[in-house]
Amino acid sequence: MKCKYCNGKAVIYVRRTRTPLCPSHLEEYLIKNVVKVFKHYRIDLSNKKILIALSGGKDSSTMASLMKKLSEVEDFEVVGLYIDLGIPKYSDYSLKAVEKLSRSLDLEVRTINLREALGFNISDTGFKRRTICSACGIIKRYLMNYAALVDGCQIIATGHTLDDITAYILKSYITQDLKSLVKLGVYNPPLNKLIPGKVKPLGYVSEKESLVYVLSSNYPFYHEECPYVSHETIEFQAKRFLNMVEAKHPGIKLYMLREYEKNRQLYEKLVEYPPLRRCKICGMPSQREVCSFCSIVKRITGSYDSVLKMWENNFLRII
Amino acid sequence: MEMGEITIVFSPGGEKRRIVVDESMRVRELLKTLLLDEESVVVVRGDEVLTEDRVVRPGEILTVFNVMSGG
Repeated sequence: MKCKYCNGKAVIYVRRTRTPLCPSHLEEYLIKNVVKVFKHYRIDLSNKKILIALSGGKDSSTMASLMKKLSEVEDFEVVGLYIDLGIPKYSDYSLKAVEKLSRSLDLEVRTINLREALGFNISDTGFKRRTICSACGIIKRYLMNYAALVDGCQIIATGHTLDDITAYILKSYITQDLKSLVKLGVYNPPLNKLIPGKVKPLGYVSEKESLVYVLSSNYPFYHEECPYVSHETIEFQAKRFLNMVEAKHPGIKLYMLREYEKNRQLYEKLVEYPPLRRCKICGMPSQREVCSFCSIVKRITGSYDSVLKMWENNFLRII
Repeated sequence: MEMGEITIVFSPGGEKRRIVVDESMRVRELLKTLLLDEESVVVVRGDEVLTEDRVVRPGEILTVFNVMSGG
């Protein structure tokens, strides 16, 4: 199979556009899709500093590479962040992949080590698997906000793909979880000065495109699964189901996402939120007296001390 | 037609499988044999990403990357 644009050897056939692409034209296609996200949501990147959330996996490696390349021609800055959760082997190998990626892209990367910053690893919590995953999500989101604030970043970019977003949309439809549904867009603008905007630059890019990109461009990534991951979750099954539908109807995921974005404001009207206040421990925006993050830290360590210590110090380390 | 074994390594996990193929087998046919959907995996030989129309031969070692993996 030859690339549609240069006749070079194709590494992927993009079914939704019926286009075979070589590695360099795949990169061009992916960059165009990332730019589409910023244009569609009118995200002004000029003079901004973007925090690139890195997990060591394929999608964040793809996103980091594309954002770094874009930053070289556009007027914005990027800096990477890796959160070391202390999961035996998995976190070590993920960190190594991030270190290699940092060198390969010449991307400055900071890390936060959970044990150093808060005094525990995610594996020492004694939580059951489902609780660990839920706590891990809350901790990562909070630490991304912390890193963005400490480092002066206005936007946080994550490696979520079209496949991730549509699977979460479907899950929210299935469970009729409207509060989650309204938050699933490709872009969530800043809530206030403490909560930066969050963008998913790979919102129009499939996981397969992302995987082929890192493989064909030789970007480092770690492809093993987190030991706590379960394939029985609704979102995992939703992803499998959507892959089956996509196989018969190429482009259906992108259609689903675009239709969701059109209806998002309607869903927002159906959801009532309690007024946002400040967490009485850390001062970050919260719907409750004590935010979820502080509650988790208290549950694990028995006190809020480590949260306060974290805010008094800078736990970002450059790798 | 030359028959022989090719070795498949699955990622993530590293599970190995050996299957008998004939020289003219394409990736598309290999994936059908393995009951895998083309859109859910990426097949790699060495450093080379193979599209579904590429031919695989006996004696080769291929890595089949699962697109869906839980990070």
